[in-house]
Amino acid sequence: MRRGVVLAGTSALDEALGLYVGARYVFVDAHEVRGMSFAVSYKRLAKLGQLAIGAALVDGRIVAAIDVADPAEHAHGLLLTASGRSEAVMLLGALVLDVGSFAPAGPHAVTFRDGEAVVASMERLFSELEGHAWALRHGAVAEAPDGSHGRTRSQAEKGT
Amino acid sequence: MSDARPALDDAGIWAAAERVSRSTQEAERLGERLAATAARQRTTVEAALERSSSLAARKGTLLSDLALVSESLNRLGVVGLNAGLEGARVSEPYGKALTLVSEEVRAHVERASSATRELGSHIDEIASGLLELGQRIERTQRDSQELSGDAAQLKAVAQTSLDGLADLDARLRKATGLDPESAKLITLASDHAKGLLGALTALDGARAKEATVALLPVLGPVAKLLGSILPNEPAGGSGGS
Repeated sequence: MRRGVVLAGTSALDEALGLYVGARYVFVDAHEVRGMSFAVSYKRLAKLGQLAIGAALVDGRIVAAIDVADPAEHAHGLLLTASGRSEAVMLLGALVLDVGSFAPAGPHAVTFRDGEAVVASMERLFSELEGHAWALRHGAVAEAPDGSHGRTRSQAEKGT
Repeated sequence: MSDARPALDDAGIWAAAERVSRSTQEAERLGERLAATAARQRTTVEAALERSSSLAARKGTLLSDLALVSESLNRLGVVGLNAGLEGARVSEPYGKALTLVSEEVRAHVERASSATRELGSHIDEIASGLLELGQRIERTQRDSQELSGDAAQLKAVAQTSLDGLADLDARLRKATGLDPESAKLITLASDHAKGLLGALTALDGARAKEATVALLPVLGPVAKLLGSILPNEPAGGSGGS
């Protein structure tokens, strides 16, 4: 059994987690979720494709955040972390469907309701975020004429 | 008899004027009652409008309270979720217990949230109903004000008619030389005379004679009185006694 959280999949969440598989459900391992917290304040810094990155004030600390829906409607979010990392990223706007133990359905999926939930990699999330931050810092984003806002590192790695 | 016809006509005019006067007085009285009822209605409608507005104004407070409940439920849901996450992280048997508590909490939160949403929708519905009710009351208030104005106007018109009738009364008195009481008596006498004549005409010949004989004690003084009032008039068909 794998323990963790199942989120409702959206294209924005896919983009945030670097999945690009059109997952209906997304599974995040319990050890990669610090918990659900309330963001006292959230500031969007940039819109990148369907997701936005920004900074949130959580428990008196400023943390990097990704919002995949209207943050005004979802003031609370999941504080995610990856193994071996001390920092956390707040995921705002993702819909939590369930929490608990789920039967594995292969190396990268668990069984949920009438289907499978794709296991998200937090390492990939951090990689996506760093890629976006890098692109933002060097002004390579938002100038793309087709509105794709440039490619992230993981996209470049995958050759998409 | 040549003077009797105009006197009867004058009496008829006086009787008609009397009827008009009575009707106008009744109209004035009804106008007064209508004005009083309209005033009471206006007070009631104003109170209803005030109450309706006061209730409609509470929508904001109710929705604000509901938002607080919703926010608390939201936070409780997060507590439940975090308990579940903690349960998923720690080993058995504590993990299982935490997961069960989390599931229970989240199920209750879900039910309460659903009820809160329904409550919000009901409040919106009631507020819309109150708004519509307020609009209807406002329309009734305008109608009531109009009714008050009409009642006051009716009363004024009735008063003007009564003044006109008083003027007509004075002019009639001057034109006919009769006063209302005399005119009333003439009309009464005329009605009775017509009745007597009709009844006597309806009797057949033999019975008419018997009836006339039987009525002599009554008709005698009448004929005598008529003779004294009209000394120079020919007796006509009524016969001298």
